[in-house]
Amino acid sequence: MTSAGPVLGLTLMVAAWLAAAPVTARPRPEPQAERIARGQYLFDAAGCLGCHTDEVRGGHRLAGGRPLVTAYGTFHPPNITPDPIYGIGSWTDAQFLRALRHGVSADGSSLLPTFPFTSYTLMDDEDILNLKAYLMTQPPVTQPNRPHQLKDSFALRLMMPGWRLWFLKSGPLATNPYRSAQWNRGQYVVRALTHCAECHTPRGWSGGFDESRAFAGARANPYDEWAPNLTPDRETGLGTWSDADLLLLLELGIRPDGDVVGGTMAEVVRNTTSRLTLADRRAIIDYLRALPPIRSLPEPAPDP
Amino acid sequence: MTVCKPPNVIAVMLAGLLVLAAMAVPAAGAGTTAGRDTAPVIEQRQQEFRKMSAAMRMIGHYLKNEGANLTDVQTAAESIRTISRRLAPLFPQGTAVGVGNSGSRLQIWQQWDVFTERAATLTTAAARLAAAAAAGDAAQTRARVTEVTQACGGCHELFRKKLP
Repeated sequence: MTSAGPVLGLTLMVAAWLAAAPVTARPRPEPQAERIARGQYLFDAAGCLGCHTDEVRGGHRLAGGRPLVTAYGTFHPPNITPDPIYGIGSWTDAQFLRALRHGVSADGSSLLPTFPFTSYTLMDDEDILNLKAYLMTQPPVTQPNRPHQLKDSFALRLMMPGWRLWFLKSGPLATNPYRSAQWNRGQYVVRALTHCAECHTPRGWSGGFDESRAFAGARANPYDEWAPNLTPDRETGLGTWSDADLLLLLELGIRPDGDVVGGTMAEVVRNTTSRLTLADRRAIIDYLRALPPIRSLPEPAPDP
Repeated sequence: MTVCKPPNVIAVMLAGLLVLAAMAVPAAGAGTTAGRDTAPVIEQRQQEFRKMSAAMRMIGHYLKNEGANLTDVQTAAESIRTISRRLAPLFPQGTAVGVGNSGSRLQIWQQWDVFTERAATLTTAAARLAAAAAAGDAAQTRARVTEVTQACGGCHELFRKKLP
């Protein structure tokens, strides 16, 4: 009985301290909330907004993008809101994974590579599903999709399964154990998420990437402008740019000569690279610096 | 009373000329260059854009810690503001891509109101940047630079064809 007094006193003191202490511990975020937040970052990094929203004409967010004019015809990026009829509201996780990994839509039809599944295929499963989790939180818009106006839609769709079989290198992207974590992150951001190759890598006869000239610059982009050489070639690439130059371009679009980027890259800076973390911007630079330098001058514009 | 008549006639004629001149000035902004040499106006506006690039380069030097200071940023921002206010009249019709070495897309004239609105957005953004730099506020300056580059990029995205 003599030892009960101090124990009781200490217990009461602790109880009183706990009662008086402000509640600072916050409840742990729900895993779903974390997935959505992660998905929002991936949404920005993957540049979904630019293609799937007709920003110029004030279109509804994610309900369908501006027409993309290509050599194969005019594509109309579809509605990716959670609308169950016109959007992706009824898509299962497996269907969404298949679309990004293998270029096959929910109804089994072939997606065409204007949708850059050739890059998104490199994303890992978790990121693809986090992206879907975010998209499903967006307001649904009941807006029908505009059909593509292709030069030979039937033939294009018919040949896509064979094209995928021969030319699509399905992901996810493998980690290179001989490179640093930052380089590997840079490779993932550049190749899988921000899909820089879609504009900056020339294409071969099949329409697939010419990997022997990866990131050496190309003309095939929606504005028919030269997407510059990103390799470290000192004369025609980024070899003379400092890290600070590259960071400023990715954050604000300012080139070392004081020009501010336009065309597709203005959209990329606004919607994607300016929203990346500093760590991811540094990872991009690390990856680009390690590319083999390729001399590549802008190709002349085709005759009108 | 008739002594006042001759001066009145002259005054009416002068007023008429002034009205005609005033009507001609806004027309020059979105007007045509029919019968005129377009090379000087294209060269003039390209010179103005080169001056804006030089100003933006200075702002870049500041952001990259390459020797420039907030006073340099203020001067650069004021230069951008001044130039942005005189851009519209330098874009007469008939000076789009395909004429000389013009990099101006036809959309400028198809969406003239959007074009002039974006030029005005740049004027406002540059003025705000100059004020932030003048106040010595580094954090605000950085935020205001973002507004200026978004104004520049927003116009380039729609209206400029980048020339090799």
